[in-house]
Amino acid sequence: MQMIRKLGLAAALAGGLTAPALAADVDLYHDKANWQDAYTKVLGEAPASTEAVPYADTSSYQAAVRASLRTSSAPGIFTWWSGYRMKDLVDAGLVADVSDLWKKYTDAGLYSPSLASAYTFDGKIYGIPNLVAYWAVFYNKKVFADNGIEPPKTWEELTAAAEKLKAAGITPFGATVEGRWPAFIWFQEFLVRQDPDLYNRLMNGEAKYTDPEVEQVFKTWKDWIDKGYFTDPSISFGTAGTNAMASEFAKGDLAMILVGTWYAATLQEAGMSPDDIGIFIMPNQKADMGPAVIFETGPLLLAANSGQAEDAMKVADYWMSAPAQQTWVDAQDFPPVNKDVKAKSELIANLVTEINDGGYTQINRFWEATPTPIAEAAVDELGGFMLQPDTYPQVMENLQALAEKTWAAQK
Amino acid sequence: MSGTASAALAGGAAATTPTARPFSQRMVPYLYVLPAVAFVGLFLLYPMVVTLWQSFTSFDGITDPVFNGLDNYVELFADPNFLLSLRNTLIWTVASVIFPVTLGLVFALAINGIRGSGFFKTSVYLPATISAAAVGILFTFVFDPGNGVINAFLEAVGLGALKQRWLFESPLNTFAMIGAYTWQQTGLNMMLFLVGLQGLPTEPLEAAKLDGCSPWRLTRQIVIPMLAPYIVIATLLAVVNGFKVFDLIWVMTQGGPSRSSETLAVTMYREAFILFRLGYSAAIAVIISIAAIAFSYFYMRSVVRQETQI
Repeated sequence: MQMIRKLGLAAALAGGLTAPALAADVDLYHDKANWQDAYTKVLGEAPASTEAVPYADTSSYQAAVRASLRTSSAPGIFTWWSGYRMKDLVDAGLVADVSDLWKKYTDAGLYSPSLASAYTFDGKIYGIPNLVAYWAVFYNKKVFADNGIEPPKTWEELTAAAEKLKAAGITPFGATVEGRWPAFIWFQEFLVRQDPDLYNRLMNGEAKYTDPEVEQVFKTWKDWIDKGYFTDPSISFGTAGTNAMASEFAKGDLAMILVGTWYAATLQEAGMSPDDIGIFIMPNQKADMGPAVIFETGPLLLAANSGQAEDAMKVADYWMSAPAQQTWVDAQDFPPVNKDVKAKSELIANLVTEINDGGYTQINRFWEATPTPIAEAAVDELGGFMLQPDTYPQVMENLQALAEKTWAAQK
Repeated sequence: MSGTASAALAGGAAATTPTARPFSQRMVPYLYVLPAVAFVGLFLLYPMVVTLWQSFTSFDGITDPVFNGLDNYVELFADPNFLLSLRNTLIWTVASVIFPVTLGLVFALAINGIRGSGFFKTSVYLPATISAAAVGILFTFVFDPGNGVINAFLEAVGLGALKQRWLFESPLNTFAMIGAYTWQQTGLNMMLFLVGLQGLPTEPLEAAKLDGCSPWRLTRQIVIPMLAPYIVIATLLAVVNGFKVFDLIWVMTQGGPSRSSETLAVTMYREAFILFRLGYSAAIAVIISIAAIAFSYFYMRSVVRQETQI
């Protein structure tokens, strides 16, 4: 009995020792456990004491944050998703308006106002950038050099490269349905490369998934599948455990992977040296179309009802400043968003220069650009198409039925 | 004298009647059960009532729920994905009884009393100590179409034509996951049956042996009927677990591709935590609960009836 009491006392003491000595002024909740060190590094210099609180699982994170947002115990700052994925929080008045903060930085010429579009609703801005990534094609430099291929500038050069690689026994492009969501990658890209305006109209419910232009997208996609330009759609991508796509890329059996710039770290983990990885933005199908790039952005949002709201605004101001952003970019190798900040790697630096100097239109990616019920169900339909490409007429019908149901519920 | 005695007896009886005890004393037993009742009430009954209420509402978790009557249930039964999910759940339920329970019983009967069976017992039981999520990750490696053990083995023995995209074709993916589930659950059932076997009275078994009963007949007509209570428990647990299977599927396929391997629990999770349709997902939760409770009730009733007939 005495032993049990002693153990209980020891446990209580240990519990007391592990509890934080002082609560922070601001909590920053996030679901990106492997970014915790980077957050801690940046927030160490914040004007109010700020603690990053990681959640291991995205779904429980979302549920916990949503449940807290109506109360004063909501975290001062939390990471979220842009576009339609934050719209319901904005509509319910749970997120603070940070338009004034943006004005300070855009007036100083430090931020591009177009970046805020992914967090803007009815002319007001409700988020600051946490992650920005561009969707481009990683290529194995050695494979390109061995086969006499240069990064393609036109659609014809792109298809010629694919043909050449295929003939050499190398799979040109990676594509998979593993983890569900990757099924949207090629759909959004084919749409944007064929007609960016069509992409925008489709995302906003102004075009139909059964339109002939969308059918053309599926036909191009199916043509590439039939020609053997893609990996088997069941190839692992690292969403669950194994990552056959990255290892085939590293071995030189696969030449190109279309994905967000954050995938560079995964490729390096698979054994690629940074010097062997190249990147290019997919060319448009027609040469006279303006340059465009798909981007992805995840915001930091400020909870409107939080008891930490005042301090959170100060931390948000600091977060957007050059010193904080430089620390963040150095830790993560993300494309810089503050114009006083330098990219960490040459790969990202060159890409950002090309996008900024080349006058690229930046297009928000599918996952956030269309209402969540459509995006979530669409990846299942698109995955079905990738596994059985002949089913595309049915997939188009299903997607349109889904879109009509969702848009009807939104009005 | 007798009057006094009876009065004393009556007085004694009155003194021991519960109603005559002080209130505080009568409350004591209730105080003992109060923590358990409060716990069950707060963490089981209250959420059940709230879930039932939410199933009649449209609720996104951030604005107030709006009562919408039976709309969620009407939508459910018109949704082809729900019906597919129901079909998969039934496959899981039946398979979780057929495979892990039967295999567990067969293994227990085969190794019971055999010297040196410890190694086999440990090997079969070990997977039960791993979490379902870890089993899921392990088997995504096993079923990997490119480098997985199964396809590599088929290739090595010259059966390359039989290679499959195990987790990407329906209904093959459901059966592949049931295989992983069987690997994990068989040991647990085996141990349950071994405990049962070791507790059986030896007299009837010895008597049957003396009467020249063959081992097969002994097993079929004496051992298995005597194990009935254990079989009932194992079957009931298997059905209930089969009904609510979630973690393994979520890790291995997330219900895909194209929602083809979703079960009711996966559909419920997806509606609740990805699409934040909490009212709709509560309706699915209610259906799962009703089905599991109804099955348990009728199954137990029929078992009890059989027992009383015996």
